[in-house]
Amino acid sequence: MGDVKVSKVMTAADAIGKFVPDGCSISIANFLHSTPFALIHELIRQKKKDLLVWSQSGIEELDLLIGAGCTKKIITAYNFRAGGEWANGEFDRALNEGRLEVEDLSNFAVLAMLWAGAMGYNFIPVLKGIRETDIFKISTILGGEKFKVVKDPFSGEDTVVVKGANPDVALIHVQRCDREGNAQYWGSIGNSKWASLACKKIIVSTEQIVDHDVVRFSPHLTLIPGFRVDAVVEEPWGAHPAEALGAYNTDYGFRAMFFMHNITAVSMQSFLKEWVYDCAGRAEYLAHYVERFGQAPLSRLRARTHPSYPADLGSANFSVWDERGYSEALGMTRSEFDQVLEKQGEVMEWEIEEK
Amino acid sequence: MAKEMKYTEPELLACTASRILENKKSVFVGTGLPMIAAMLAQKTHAPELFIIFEAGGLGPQMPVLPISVGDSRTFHRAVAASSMHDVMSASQSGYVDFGFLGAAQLDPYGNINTTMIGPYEEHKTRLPGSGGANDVGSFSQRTIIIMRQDKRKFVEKVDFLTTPGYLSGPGAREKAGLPKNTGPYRVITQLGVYGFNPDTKRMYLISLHRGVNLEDAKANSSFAFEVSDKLEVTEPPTEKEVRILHEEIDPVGIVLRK
Repeated sequence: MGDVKVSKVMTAADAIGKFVPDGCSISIANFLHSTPFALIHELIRQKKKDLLVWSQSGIEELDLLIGAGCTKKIITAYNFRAGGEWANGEFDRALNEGRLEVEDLSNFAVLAMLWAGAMGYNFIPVLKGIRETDIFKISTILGGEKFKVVKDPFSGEDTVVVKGANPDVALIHVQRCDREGNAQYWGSIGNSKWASLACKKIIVSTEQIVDHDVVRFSPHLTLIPGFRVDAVVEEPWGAHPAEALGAYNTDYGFRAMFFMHNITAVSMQSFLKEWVYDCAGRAEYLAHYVERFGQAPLSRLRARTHPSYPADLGSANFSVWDERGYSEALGMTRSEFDQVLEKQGEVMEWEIEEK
Repeated sequence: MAKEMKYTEPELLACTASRILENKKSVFVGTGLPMIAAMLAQKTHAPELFIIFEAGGLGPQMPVLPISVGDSRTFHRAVAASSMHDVMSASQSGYVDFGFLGAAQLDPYGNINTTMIGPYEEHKTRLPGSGGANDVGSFSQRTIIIMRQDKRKFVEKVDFLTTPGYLSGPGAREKAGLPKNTGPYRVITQLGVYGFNPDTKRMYLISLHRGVNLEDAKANSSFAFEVSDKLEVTEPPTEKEVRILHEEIDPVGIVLRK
């Protein structure tokens, strides 16, 4: 367990610099929304190399990482194609030029590998029909470390299992987090919990750092407990252009602009220069956004409030016994209660003796 | 006779798919036309249709069409904003009635390719991959496939088997250990609607859309298919359905276009 008394707050540059060495494996938590773009841009700025990327379902973050030369290996179930089935972006260019290997899995298979890893299991069963598909038959990066067929010890039948995975570092973006890393996230959770907990290190970026008491008063919203977290990075708009529930919507205009840049290698590099390399961090990225497009387009993305109904975490009292040793619920003192227990004990013993 | 309704292809596909869904059943939906079809069903004949999204949204009341299966609309006024883990668990245990899939290639047994065109090592085109398709096609009791049909897409053998249909034919799903009473149910294309022969597990034509003749359908398939004795003309979209599609579900024309 990490030391929960120590503040883990640091800059994105420090977190990525400290916990993501070249050649390590990373897991991008968040599923099509709340994508940790601030952290991903930092990977690119620091010119990380040879990262093995676990991505349940990727959009432009994969093109960016490939285009910046950060990764040649991606394990995934799905990568979004702007322009439909016949799209052509950095992902395709890299595949066609032999700069990229992709390991194909189904959504449940990716999730199951991370889930098993998070539980400390070596493997876990999946629906065995996958054995008949090419997802099972063809393997690239993982080789024989993907699926195996074993005997179900209960039914004696063949069952398909996937190997538990423990990537080195998770990147996740949440709505709020305290200094110790208790990360609170709400909305539909996708794969985020397992894609984080499976990893050896976890870097949390958060819209807002909140007081420790905020967590203490809403423990049911904590997705990743602080004892598992290694770094906390405060990054307002840290998921832009993706959506962060309760904070801002997806920026479709910006996303469309990216996809236009993604059409050629040259324009892709100019996007990286303008929006990643030439911005020292997320604050500069936002400043550049406002400079290019004005404040209005950004302000229009701000979420309108839609609060949830509060959950009452109260109880009648914290102990059955009050400070005088009396219980209102039982209508007796602790010593009277002990006497009842003793008597019942006698009764039971007496019944046993009778037999 | 009433004046003939004018409609576009996406409208026709959405309405046809929507009518297959039944009230009080559950449906696992993906991005695009499946979402539109499910929302239309909810706003017409199936108000209690239970919509399930991969990122964890359960039973939402969507104000307007979501863009992805994870965006905030997918759990707006939902009964639960759960996780992929919860959704997949419920689905694998057999609690999902309908699944909706797209396909880049489809074979006569309903096996689907959404991974790549061409041989794996020297592929011509990379596609998005399985996502949840393999899972949905494995566990759904009735899988509905929506796709454009042509000779490159209706193929004798798919280049990459991403999602199991009836595999090699009768008994193959059971032999592979897939859950009982699951598998492809309908294929909806721009030309007609296909079902699966319970004996051969091969696709057969159930209905042709208005203005399409049998030769069109045959000319746009690389494999031969049987034709129902009671071949029908697909009921065209109604004015009411088209109005709901444009005014309530996709007012900006993201999928349906303007």
